Amino acid sequence: MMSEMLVDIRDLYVNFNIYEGVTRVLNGVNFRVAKGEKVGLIGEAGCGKTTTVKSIMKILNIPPAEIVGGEIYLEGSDVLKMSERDLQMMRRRTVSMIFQDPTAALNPVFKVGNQIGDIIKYNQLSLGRKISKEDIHEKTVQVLKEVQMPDPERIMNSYPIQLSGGMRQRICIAMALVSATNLLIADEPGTNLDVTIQDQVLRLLGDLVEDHGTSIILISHALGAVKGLVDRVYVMYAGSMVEAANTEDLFNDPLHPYTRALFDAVPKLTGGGIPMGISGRIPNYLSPPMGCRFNPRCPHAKPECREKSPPFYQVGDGHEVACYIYGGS
Amino acid sequence: MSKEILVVKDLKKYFATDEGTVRAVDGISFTINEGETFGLVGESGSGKSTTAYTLMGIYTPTAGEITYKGMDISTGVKKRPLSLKKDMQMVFQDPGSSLNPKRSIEQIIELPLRVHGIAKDERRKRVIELLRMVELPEDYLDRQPTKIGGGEKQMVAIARALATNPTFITLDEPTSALDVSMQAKIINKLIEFQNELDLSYLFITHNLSLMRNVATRVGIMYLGKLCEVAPTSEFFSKPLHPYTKMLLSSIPVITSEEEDVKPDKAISRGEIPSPVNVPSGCYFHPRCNECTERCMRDDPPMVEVEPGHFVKCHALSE
Repeated sequence: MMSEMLVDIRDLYVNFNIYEGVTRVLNGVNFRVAKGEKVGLIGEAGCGKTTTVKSIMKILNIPPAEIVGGEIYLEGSDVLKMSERDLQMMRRRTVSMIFQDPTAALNPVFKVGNQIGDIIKYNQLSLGRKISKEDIHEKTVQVLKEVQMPDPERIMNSYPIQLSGGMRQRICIAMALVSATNLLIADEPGTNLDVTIQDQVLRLLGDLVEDHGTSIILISHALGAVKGLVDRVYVMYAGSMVEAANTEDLFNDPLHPYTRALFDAVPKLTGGGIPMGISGRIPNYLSPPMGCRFNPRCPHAKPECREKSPPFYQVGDGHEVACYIYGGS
Repeated sequence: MSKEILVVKDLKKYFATDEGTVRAVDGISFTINEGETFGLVGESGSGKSTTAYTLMGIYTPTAGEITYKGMDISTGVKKRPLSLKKDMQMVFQDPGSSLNPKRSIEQIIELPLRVHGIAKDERRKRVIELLRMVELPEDYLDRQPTKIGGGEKQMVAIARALATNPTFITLDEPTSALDVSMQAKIINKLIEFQNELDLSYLFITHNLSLMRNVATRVGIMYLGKLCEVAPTSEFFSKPLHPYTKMLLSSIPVITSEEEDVKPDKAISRGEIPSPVNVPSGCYFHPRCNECTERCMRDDPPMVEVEPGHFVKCHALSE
């Protein structure tokens, strides 16, 4: 069982110590990704999606962030107990991340070819190999071709500002590909792009992880984008997972009141007007509500919801829900 | 036939840059009827916002005519009478930058009232009334925009736009910076205001699923030109322009009913070219799945294929 899991986050708690006090953001996150699995992570802005994935690579800003409890296993070893050197090795050759805004992720004063080349160089160094300039060049061209860039030689000699948003995001994907062998984390990769370009980028990403056999964690609040790409989806609300299921099951039969409300709020292409949305808003993390954090906005809230946060209940094949409604069955 | 409130005829807006002339808006014509929501969609760089800014008078048009309630307003904003500015308002995309962070909510909503010469005690009453309309608590009066949430900021921006009792509001991607649940709330509020106050909207967005639910008629822009204008239901059930089909099939959807509505997968390819050197003939031909030789040579005319349904494509103009 252990060896099957690539990422295994158990009961993770993360606080941020800010001027106003302590914000308790991650509230017991449980999250798993199997080898070769494509996992989606959805939820509103500010619910802790990015904090969760950043803690896998341990790239949270500590302080203000503080990991106060829990374990994160990556290929069986605890990330929180790794030495700084091991962490660097992990970031160089096991996991890489694609960020939401490609413009901010690329250095504006270096040519993109050099930026990709550096990653290849250090990735190889971390494996104890030296690589010649010619080989770096060749590899860069090859990876640019892989992300369907026209005319790679010209692109290599461009600065990020000379490229369009879609091309910049493809550069970021190329950079992630050259080093990631096991896990690719994509944090809202298409959000800043137009629908047609987002469609292209997501399709490319899907094909590439398929070819490389890489696992992927796709974060997005574009629910449709997640649906088309991943095998399993986690729904997150205010710092903890509320529902996890196979993509098909989740979209056909959402169970948690939050998931249902979230799906209802999406405008449909079939028309029929816009539903009312979810009343209230995401809680203040300085003083989050007791028990289930969704209880102040939940139409089905019961007294027990206000006392103790619900555990994950199994309701079907791989379908888990953190809600007392499903506790009896 | 309902009454026209805004008529745009062959509107052009060019910008001179070091690299050449940017044809941001290149000869578009459309009308907006009283009480309707005209939706304008397109990718970034297609000229949606330039169109809106030109209508609102932020830019002076290079050529073309804009008629608002029978009055020619093709001049810049400085030549427009104050009463006209009162009647046309705008809500911007990012409430974080359209609200002054150093002012309180009261000062922000009060500003248009002061400009239009409302007495001081009247102003306060009106501000409170507006806050109540957008369902914000009264104690927000003294808060600053940075202290409230993104959705609430956009509500303040909407209250400010409503302050002078306008009849026409331009909404430039009012919810694209927000979450779906907040988006639903704001859109519902906007629809409610439209019905209560008899408003006409120009609604700009790149979210086609949202457009399906709010617009009366939809126009789709590509590189500064309109490619297709149609009533909403027809636009989505019978898209005719290849670009419309490509956009519609690129939308990620969540239910299988929606999947059925989408046209057969038209694979999206290429990117919107730079508006400095636009392609010859039909602007869309390098990305078009149905491109012919003629498309590379001649720019197709806008043709009315069915009542109210206009398409700009050679394949349909025979």
